[in-house]
Amino acid sequence: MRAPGKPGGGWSWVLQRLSAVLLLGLVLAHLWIEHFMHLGRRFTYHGVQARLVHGIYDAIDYALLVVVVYHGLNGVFQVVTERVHNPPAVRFLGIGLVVVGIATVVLGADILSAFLAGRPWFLL
Amino acid sequence: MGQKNYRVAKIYRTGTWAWLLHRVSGLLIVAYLYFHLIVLSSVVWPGGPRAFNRVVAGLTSPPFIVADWALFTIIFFHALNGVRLLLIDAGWLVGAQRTVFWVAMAVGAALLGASVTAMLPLAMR
Repeated sequence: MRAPGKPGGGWSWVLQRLSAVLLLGLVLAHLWIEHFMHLGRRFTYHGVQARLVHGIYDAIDYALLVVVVYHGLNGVFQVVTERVHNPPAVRFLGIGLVVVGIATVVLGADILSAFLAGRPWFLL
Repeated sequence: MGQKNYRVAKIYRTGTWAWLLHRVSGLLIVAYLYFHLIVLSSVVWPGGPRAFNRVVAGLTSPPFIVADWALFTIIFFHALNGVRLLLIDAGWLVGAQRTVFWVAMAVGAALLGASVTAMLPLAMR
C-alpha cells in the first residue's frame, strides 16, 4: 500500500481505509438483505424487485456499488504500482482505472434501475 | 537467534503471509465483482425477468452454493485481515499483531461456519 508520505499517496491512503470501514457495514448489510433474509426461497427478479421497494435497501446497494468499485480498483492500482514505477505507465493505469470505474458504476446503476423502474435507465 | 528476535521473526512471517493473501484475496474479490455484475446484467441484456430468473436458477444450484462458501472464505479473510491492518495503521495492538491475526481468523471461521450451516439445506437439495 502506498504510504501517505509519498507523492499522491495521502488521499488515496485515507480513502482506501475509509472505504474499507464503510464496506464492512455495506457488504454485511447486502449479504443479509439480498441473500440470507429470505434464504430457502427461490431467488427471482420479482423477489429482488420487492426488496428494492424499501428505500434504505436501494441506498445500501447504490452506496455499496460506488464504494466497492472505488476500493477494488484503487486496490488494483496500489498492487500494480508497487511493481510498476514508470510515470507514464502509472498515469495510463490511473486514467484507465478511472474510466473502468465510471463504466462499472454506470453498468451497476443500470442493473439496479432495471429492478427499480422495470427497465434500464441507460443501456439497451 | 535470540528469543526476542525469534518472536519478531514470527510476527513478521505472519505479517508477510497475511500481506500476500490480502492482495491475492483482494484481486479475487475484484474479479468476482465483475462476474457478479455480468450475471446480474442478464436483467439488462437479453433483459427482463425471465432471462434473469433463468440465469439465477443455474447459479443457485448446489455446486454454486459450495462455490459461495469459497467466496465467503475469501471475503471474510479479506475483511477481517483488513480490520487488523486498520488497527495497525491506528497504532493499536501493533506488538500483538500475530495474536490479532489469529483472533480475526477465528471470527472469520465462526462467520463461515454460521453461513455454511444456514446454507447447508440448499447444498443438499
